[in-house]
Amino acid sequence: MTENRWPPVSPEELEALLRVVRPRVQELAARFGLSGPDVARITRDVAVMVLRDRNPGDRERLFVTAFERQCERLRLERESDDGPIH
Amino acid sequence: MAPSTDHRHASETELRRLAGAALDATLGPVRSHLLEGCPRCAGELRRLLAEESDPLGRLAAAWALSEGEPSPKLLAGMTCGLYAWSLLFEAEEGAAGALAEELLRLPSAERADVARESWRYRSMALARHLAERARAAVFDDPGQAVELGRLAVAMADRLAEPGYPAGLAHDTRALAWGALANALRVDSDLIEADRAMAVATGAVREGSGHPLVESEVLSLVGSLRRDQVRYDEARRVLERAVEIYRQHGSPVLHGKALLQLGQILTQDGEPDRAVGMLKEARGILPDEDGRMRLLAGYSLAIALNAAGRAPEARQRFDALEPEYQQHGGDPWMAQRRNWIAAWIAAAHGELGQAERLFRELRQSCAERESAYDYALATLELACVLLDRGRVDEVGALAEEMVPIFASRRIHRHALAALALFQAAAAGRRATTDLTRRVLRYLEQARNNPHLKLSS
Repeated sequence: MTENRWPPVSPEELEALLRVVRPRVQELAARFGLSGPDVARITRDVAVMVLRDRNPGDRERLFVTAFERQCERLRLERESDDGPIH
Repeated sequence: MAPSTDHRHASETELRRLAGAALDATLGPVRSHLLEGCPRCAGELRRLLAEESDPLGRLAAAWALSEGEPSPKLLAGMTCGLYAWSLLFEAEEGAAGALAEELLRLPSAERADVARESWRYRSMALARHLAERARAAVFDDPGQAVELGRLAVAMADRLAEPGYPAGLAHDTRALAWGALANALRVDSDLIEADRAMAVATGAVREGSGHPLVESEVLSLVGSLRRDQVRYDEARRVLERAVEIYRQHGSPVLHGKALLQLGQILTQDGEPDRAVGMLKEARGILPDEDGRMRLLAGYSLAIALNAAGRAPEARQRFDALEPEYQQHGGDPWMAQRRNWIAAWIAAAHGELGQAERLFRELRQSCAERESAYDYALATLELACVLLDRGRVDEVGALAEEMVPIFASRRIHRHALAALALFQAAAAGRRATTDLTRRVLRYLEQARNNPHLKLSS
């Protein structure tokens, strides 16, 4: 059953990924004014999601892209909740 | 505590420790057991990781928001929590093939219920595996592909419950619903395909933001819009898919999307633009994907021919012969090759050669009981005969079309268009314009039973 599968992401790769993406995560969290629970949910979800990508370079790029998209979606949801009543 | 071996299931205590401290040195045998692809232990770990998801979120927030460098303890905690998920994904992928076989051995009426109700099958990898199988089965057996797609959807819709991150669960729903929509499209159920695709695109919006999930669904939307003869939309979504693949995708996915876009441009009357795309697709697709490169080469020859560049089309087509000998051994590709050879001969004015090739194609379609392709070959042959001024022989073709009307594989609007041609041919009134109009309509309407021949 293990044939043709790749090994899981190594702990070293995970540490390296977290170090590389952290500045961008902080920048995006500040830009979008994310609360602590927002950061917790989005960071956890995105970090788990990128584990399925095999290429370390792709994982970094994907982490930042997906994080930004989630922030953008949250902003849109909030805008539609708080928008003017016509 | 005795460690697990590859042959013994991990205990709940061991898995609970793994969920919280995946890198613990004493848990090596548990990790090995999981990586063997044990569905039972993977299911249990999934449940435990769902319980641990709040602590992982708190660690993630502390990691992201702490000032200065995060402490080694914090980094280690994050790494450990994520490594446990990584192990789970590997375990699930290892088990997915065997679980799928298990499910598919059940009577088909029971599969979806079992998949929905049993924790054993609530695996994201299994839902994705079935969606991929639905995609692969679509041309050989659309009915089977629909069944696989429905099963994938039944599972994907329940993934939020076992505690996968919501974005990932929606990504999987998008892929499963997209695969089902695609299977329904090829099975000529465009109304249901449209509904399923709306669920898929909605799930993309709810998903993790993974660009390749979006582009994969967009490429399926492109195929659906093409069959719905909504070419502008097809082109728009495929251009977006190509752009995403250009930035993030593998050469295979990028090349396939370009190929798809080039084919639609040719079909939509812009073969000159298609030529550039198809050349790019040929350049990008890797040598290992020889069949796809050959298909891109054939599509390029078709586009060149349609653009009035028949000599260049022939040159390209002839140059593909070694690739055909290496990668094109199946009847579908052989048919494709003969069809293109006939078009190129007709475009060169070699009408005798074109007539011989279309007659051979017609014969092979009859032998394979492929009524739709038989009708297309008949109309192509009629065009050649009309160009040669042999109107009486076109009348004889009309008589030979009778078996087409008994086919259940041709929808009623297509049959009506064929009947129009048949009546004209029988009355010696068929013209090249009418024949080409019916031919073009049939090419567009293959999977679209709602499309009528415009007057």
